[in-house]
Amino acid sequence: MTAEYAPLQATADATAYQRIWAKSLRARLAAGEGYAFVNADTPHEIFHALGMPVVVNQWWSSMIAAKQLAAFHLDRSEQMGFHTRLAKYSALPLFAALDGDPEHQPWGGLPAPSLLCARQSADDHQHIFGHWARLSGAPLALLSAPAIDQPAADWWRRARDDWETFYGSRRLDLLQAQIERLITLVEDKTGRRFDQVDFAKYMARIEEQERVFEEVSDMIAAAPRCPVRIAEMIPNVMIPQWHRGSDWALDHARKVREEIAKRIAGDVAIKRNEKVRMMWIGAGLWFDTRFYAAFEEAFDAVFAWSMYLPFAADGYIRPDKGDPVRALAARVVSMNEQLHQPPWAGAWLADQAKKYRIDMAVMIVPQNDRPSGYGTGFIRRAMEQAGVEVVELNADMVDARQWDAAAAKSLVEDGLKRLVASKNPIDSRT
Amino acid sequence: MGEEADRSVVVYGHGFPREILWLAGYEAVDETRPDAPVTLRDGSRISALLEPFLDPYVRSFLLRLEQGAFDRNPAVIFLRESPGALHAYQYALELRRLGLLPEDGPALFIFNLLLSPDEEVSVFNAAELARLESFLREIQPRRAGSVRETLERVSLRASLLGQIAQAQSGGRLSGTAAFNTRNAAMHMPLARSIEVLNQLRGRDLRKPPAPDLRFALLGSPLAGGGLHRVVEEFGTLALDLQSGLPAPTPPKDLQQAVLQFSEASLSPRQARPNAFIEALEPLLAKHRIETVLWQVDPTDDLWGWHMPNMRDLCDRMEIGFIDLGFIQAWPDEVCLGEARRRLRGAMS
Repeated sequence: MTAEYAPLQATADATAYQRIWAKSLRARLAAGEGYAFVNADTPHEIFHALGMPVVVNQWWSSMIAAKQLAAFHLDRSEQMGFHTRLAKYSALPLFAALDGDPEHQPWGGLPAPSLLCARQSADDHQHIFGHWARLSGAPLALLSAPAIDQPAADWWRRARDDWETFYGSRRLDLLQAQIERLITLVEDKTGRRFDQVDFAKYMARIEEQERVFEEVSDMIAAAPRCPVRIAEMIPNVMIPQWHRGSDWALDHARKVREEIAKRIAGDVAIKRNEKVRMMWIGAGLWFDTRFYAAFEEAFDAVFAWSMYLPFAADGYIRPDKGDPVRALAARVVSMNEQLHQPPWAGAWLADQAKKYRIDMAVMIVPQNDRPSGYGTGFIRRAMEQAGVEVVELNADMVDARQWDAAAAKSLVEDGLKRLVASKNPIDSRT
Repeated sequence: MGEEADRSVVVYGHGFPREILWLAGYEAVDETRPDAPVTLRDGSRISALLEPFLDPYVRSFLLRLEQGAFDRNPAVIFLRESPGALHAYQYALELRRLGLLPEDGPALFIFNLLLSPDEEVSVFNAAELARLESFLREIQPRRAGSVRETLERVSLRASLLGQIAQAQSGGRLSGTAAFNTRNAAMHMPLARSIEVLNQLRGRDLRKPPAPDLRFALLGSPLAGGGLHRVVEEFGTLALDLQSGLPAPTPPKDLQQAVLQFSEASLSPRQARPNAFIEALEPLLAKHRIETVLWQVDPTDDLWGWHMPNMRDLCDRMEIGFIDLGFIQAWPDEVCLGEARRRLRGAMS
């Protein structure tokens, strides 16, 4: 029963680690150490390898939202002249920085970064980071994002081993050259030298970490009932992902695997009487993560899937074939696109739904965020063709002003009722 | 003209440098901005997959593709560095893969010409140009005629566009007429577009009666000319970037056309942080602009990022700035009424 649900020890460990890391980062930044402010779909590995602290734009955005500070900054951004329909998830940290009021920021706000990095995977990223560059004076490393000309749907199979063919040598040549340019920039900023041999070892540890997460995903998918809430799995995956390849991250992934295995062996589940398995499509609902558990009591419906765990394997495992920088380019070259754009997103999500025995998908549709909002029609179709009921929530990942929790809950409940009716029409009539 | 347009390669993407195709030996028409919004027909198999908040040009293009508007054209080439073009390409590919659009329509090609002066990008762009030429050779033989002749025509077209911009800036040509003609010429093959631009240049158009206030109209691309008419009720539309960027110096060859594109500062996806504002400042000065009129599409995720800097630039240059808010690509009367109200309010 939900009342008996006990969180994983690993969850407390991960959040405690992140707190300590954040505290030490604040101290380093306060002491004047430079840091890089980067988008999620950039090669963080280079900064880690050269010992430069990294703050990830989307993580910082989720922090601002989770502390219920987003509405303040989004209102302020409109007063500054940014119109209300611009994307918010990737821009919220910029708005907070432009405002600058320490009273309305986690940690009292970030100091000016020493370096900025983004990929032009969305039309607006160069503008958002251009504002950062003007505000901070930091150099901006922008990575190009040319498209694949004939994208095959089953990217997660093809990109695993034959990534050179799948992503295309010319695209990889370009990104590899841009990553090498970035390496020089980070070397200049840190005064350290990039070591190819050490980097290969570091990339191997990341690969090991992602393979552990792949095992965890397989275990959860195959378990008779879902053993862990996604609200717990997200920090258990993403905190190690922000520190990927570190000793702590690898150890933590193993601890998660152990704890999940024990739960499954002990027949521990979110709901003993689990009736409906749901998947959450899209980035997290950062200002209201309790929403994920809102249907357990009334419907015995659990969220069994969010993208963060399975993507750790499918999006990250790229064997290095003797060239770790090129393998890194292969990891980054279509990273975000695979999660949102046709044909990739729909095909992967349908495959995951089958693997996880999903009954219903709840999809966040952020209308003002083209990279995340576009392509959702194709995803809906792919899921429906896979026999999955789909509920769309018109909402934004960080803009609580647009969020009507009661209305959203009602939409999901209607979907659950439709699902129950279609699965067991006799029950639904009684 | 019709037959030539039918045989032409269709290009999709705001600011598509058609010079590249012309100099490569192919005819090309730009179908990014149809004259009117495309109406949904009964029985559309794709409309349910097009999100209501989809970019209006992407939506129109896909509906036209479904309606067979490009069935006689050999190919559609999408410009990766245009807002929305990647989505247009991917949606079209996916709709075909799903069997919702026929396979036997025009061949689809994504042209990854990138905006950056960096050396690695130049190498990539050179290879991308070779890929484009190889693709074109497969679908169609090069047209007859010498490269020199094409260069002369490309140069003439650039010159005509420059003369029209000058006449518009000088108040001798209505901004609405100039906009409509430039837009219409986009849909035409090179020779025909030169004829139409030449006709406009040669016409003695009377300027609409208006107080002598000089406007620039900036922001999201527009396809309908309604807003231009409204603006000209209030003054001279001296600078209009709504139907293409100012014509650069005509390229001397294909490689230079590629280079010019990759360095275009006013392209909305240009990677250099200050490029847009830096490029705009001398333009506003050159055309002696007194007030900038700013507008964005209701689905905009791109131009709006420039607005605060644009307003600051106007402050620095001591020129006016009026935000007209959200304007549809093909503005209807309600939208135009609101724009007129805002203009009147700001100027009273």
